[in-house]
Amino acid sequence: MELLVWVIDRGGIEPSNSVGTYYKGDVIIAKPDGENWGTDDRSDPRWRIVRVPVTQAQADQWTAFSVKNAAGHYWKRGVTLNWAALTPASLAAKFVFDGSRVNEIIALTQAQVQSIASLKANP
Amino acid sequence: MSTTTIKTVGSASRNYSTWTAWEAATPANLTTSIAGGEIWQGEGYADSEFLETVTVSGTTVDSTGYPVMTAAAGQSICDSSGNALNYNAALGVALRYTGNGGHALNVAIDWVHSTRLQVYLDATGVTESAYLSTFGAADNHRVKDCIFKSRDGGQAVVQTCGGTFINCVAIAATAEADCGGFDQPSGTLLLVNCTAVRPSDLTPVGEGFNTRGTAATLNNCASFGFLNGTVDSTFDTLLGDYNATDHASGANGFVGAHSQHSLTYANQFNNTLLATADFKLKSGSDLIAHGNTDATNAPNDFFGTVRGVATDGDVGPHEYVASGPVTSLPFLDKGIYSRPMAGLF
Repeated sequence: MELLVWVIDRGGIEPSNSVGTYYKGDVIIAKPDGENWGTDDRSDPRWRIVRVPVTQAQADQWTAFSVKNAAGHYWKRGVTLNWAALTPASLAAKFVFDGSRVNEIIALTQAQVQSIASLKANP
Repeated sequence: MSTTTIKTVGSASRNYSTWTAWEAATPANLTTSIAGGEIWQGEGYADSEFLETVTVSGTTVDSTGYPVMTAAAGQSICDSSGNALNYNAALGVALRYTGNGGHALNVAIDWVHSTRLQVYLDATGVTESAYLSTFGAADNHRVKDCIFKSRDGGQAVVQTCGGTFINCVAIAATAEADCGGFDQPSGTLLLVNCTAVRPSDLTPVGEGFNTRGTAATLNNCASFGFLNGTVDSTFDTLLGDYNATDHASGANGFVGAHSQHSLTYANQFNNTLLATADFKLKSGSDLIAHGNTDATNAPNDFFGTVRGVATDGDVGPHEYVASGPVTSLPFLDKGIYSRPMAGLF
């Protein structure tokens, strides 16, 4: 699967009773390998494309909402990926936002992604 | 004055290959991203069916800056002469969600405009909607010329806490127990020339329009195939006229002195069966020339046909033309003479 991911907080609003915005480490969408990504999908410096050998169902876990809190608010993505924890450091560096972007698809193993994935605390 | 930023969405080297990415790229504050406000307009291309769930959220909006989801010129099912007022991804930009992780289109902020789209929740047992505007203040979102379809029970095809819907169809295409057409949990809602249908070969359940917010106005709307035409809570002020249903008048019928009741479902549309449905009006339909054209909100029908003046207008999204709509000319499908994009809202 190919994942479109955030490497910086998007900014925006978090309403008290609904879903809000994206954050660094969120997966925007997962598409099968070979997705014909758009020009902005490939060039937006806030995003990267990651290829990881998982099924659609496995990838969907990374794009699901969080559970709702008592106020009915939930994160737009319930799982975050901690890019800084990737090793080696040269790999983690590919996910550092610096306003530019190399147009490449970054290959990660399932184990690598799982090692940096964690559920967000309730909003 | 607002500035419109157009981004293309599709699978043939457009700006974005998914609506989800287009939405994610929305500036966080559209009221300030460009002085005077920014209209962030995604124009879909029917390169292929969009298989995703889209949530529009997290963005500051107002009347000067908001997202617009639409189809590019010549890319909507509205532009197709083969349109049967039923979901058909081959005929225009279409969004379909088959999973259980949300609604097909979830609009969680106000002011969002959606037009010329098809949205289908193609899943069962998930208690979701094809279109949801999340609870809260959403009275200013607008939806026009859209087809919504759902196979899921437990929640209406369209669940909206207010807003304006014009020339829209909600198709409850499920045998599940409680799938209504339009459900309004809160807010102030205006529905003009909208139709809620449940195919006639399914057991009637639910209601075409369930109005239980602050106020709802239904004009020129139709409900067929449901257990009830409308269900109106005591908390809601229900207004409107010139509607039509197969349900009896009185409780759970429509308000309005000119609304029609106890109509025969099979007499209204070309085909009302689940597998072959065609919800365009048929010759002799009781919905023909029994509306009252809203020249401000709906001067044209779903296909762009000019409606009849005042009470010459039809009920629902389709304006019947006895000699065949001008959109039947094949060159119209090429987008050359398709409806202008401007002024849709």
